[in-house]
Amino acid sequence: MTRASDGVTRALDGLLSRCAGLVPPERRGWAVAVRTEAGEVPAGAARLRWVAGGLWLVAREAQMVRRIGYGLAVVAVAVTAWLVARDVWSAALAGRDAGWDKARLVLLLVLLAGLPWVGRRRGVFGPVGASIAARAVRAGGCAAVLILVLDLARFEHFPGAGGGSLWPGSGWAREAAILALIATCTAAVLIVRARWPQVNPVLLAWCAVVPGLALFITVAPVQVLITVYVAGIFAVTTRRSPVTPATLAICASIGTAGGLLVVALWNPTRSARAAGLPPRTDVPFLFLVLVVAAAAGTAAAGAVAVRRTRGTAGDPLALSKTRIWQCLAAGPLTAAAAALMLPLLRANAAVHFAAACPAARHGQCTSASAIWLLFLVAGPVVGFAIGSFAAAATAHQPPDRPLTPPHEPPPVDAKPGDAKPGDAKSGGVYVRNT
Amino acid sequence: MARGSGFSAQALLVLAALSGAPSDWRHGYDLARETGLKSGTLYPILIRLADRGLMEARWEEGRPAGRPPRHLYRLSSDGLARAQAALAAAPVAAPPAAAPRRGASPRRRGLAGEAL
Repeated sequence: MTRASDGVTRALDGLLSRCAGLVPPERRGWAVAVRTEAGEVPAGAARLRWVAGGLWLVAREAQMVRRIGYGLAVVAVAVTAWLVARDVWSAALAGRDAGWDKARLVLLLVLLAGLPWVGRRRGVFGPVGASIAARAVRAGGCAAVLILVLDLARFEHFPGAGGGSLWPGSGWAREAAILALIATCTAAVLIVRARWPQVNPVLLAWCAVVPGLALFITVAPVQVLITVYVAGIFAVTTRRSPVTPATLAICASIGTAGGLLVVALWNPTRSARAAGLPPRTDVPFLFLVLVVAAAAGTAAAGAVAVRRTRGTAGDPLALSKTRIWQCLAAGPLTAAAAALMLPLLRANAAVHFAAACPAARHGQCTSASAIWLLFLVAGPVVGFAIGSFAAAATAHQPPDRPLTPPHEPPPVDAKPGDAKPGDAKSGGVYVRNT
Repeated sequence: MARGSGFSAQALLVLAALSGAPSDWRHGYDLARETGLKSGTLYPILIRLADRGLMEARWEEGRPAGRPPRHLYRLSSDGLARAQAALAAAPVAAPPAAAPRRGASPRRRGLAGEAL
């Protein structure tokens, strides 16, 4: 037993020696320190634990978990892109717009290829927050979106079931007109900027982004929807996000539970309008379930936000702002989590139904993807409305406990990125105060 | 958790060990034995303390016989002041003299857990 333990210890020690090179040079001495101390530790299980702790230290300091996570993200995006491309190109797409549907899928793949890069950059979308909730929501949300992309690619084979353009007509003339309109809008912004440089750039950006997005939605609705979902997931889980880990955890949990309920109640064949199938539709009822889930998530997140006084530095205005952010984010987040469950868990049934539906070729079946899009678009919009009401109701409620005074300032020699009292990311030195 | 002091329970154990004889240079296994912390917990704490200037670290000088030079640690003057203030606000129960039993974390043993 001891001999086996010594063998494992030697192997781990060798691994530690090799892995120490992964640690940044200024930290490498610490890994060496653990190795040199290992000789002091009694041989056997105690030394084995010591060396294993050294490996954990190396993994931590080399940010290996993060590197592995980003590596997995790149692999997941690449695999999704390959599967979508294979699915779309191996079998002929139906309809006259097949070429443009392919072009839209290529556009989507280009957008997805930027995901890991965007997630690592410091800014509105990255890096990810330190909390487990933020990491789980980001990883789970992105995985769900990638699966959604795969499902939508499978639906491209059924006319009217994919996410084509909302513009009437078809062909090159229509696409050229759309592109010309987009080019005109872009040129208008550039001309205004050049002609009147005193115009507020932020206002100009908003004036360009809102109609541009609206126009783009009509050209490639699915691509815009998925981009907005990904942007939303990244924005709420970033380190600078005002949405707290508690809100993220509550909304993800309640949204997932609500989505599972919708999945359990949904029967894809009953939602169809095809001849020979029951005419009743259960979509409004299912949407009501989603709305109730969004309301429950908002209420729970709002209740937690009302109890929360931490991080407000004793400022009632900051407290109101925190509550407003939690409520505004909670509704859309819960609804989006619930809506994503439907395509994730009932894709196969919906695809089989679409393939088997005798009227599908004539566009007479209610497309499952159309129902999904209804949930994915209308759900967060209704959730936002619920969140707005909740924000108005909770913003000025008195706190349950007295406001905490401001925290002690961080040490003067602390670097900008360093953890300080009150931070969750502190390597075990500091803990979050309440 | 050591609420209010700004340090975790494990960090307080390390600070208590280092502030016991502030002028002495201590090495990692010595601190691990005194605090009962495992290397994977102890060294990240030492790294953060050193990063914040609360602790000084240096390599042992010379070439000791039969073993490699050790990495040595002691509190800086700022660290000693912070440690004393934190320990006064949240006193740590006496740490174990020997390495802890398997699975017996400081929190489970009741060290500085709820009291802090």
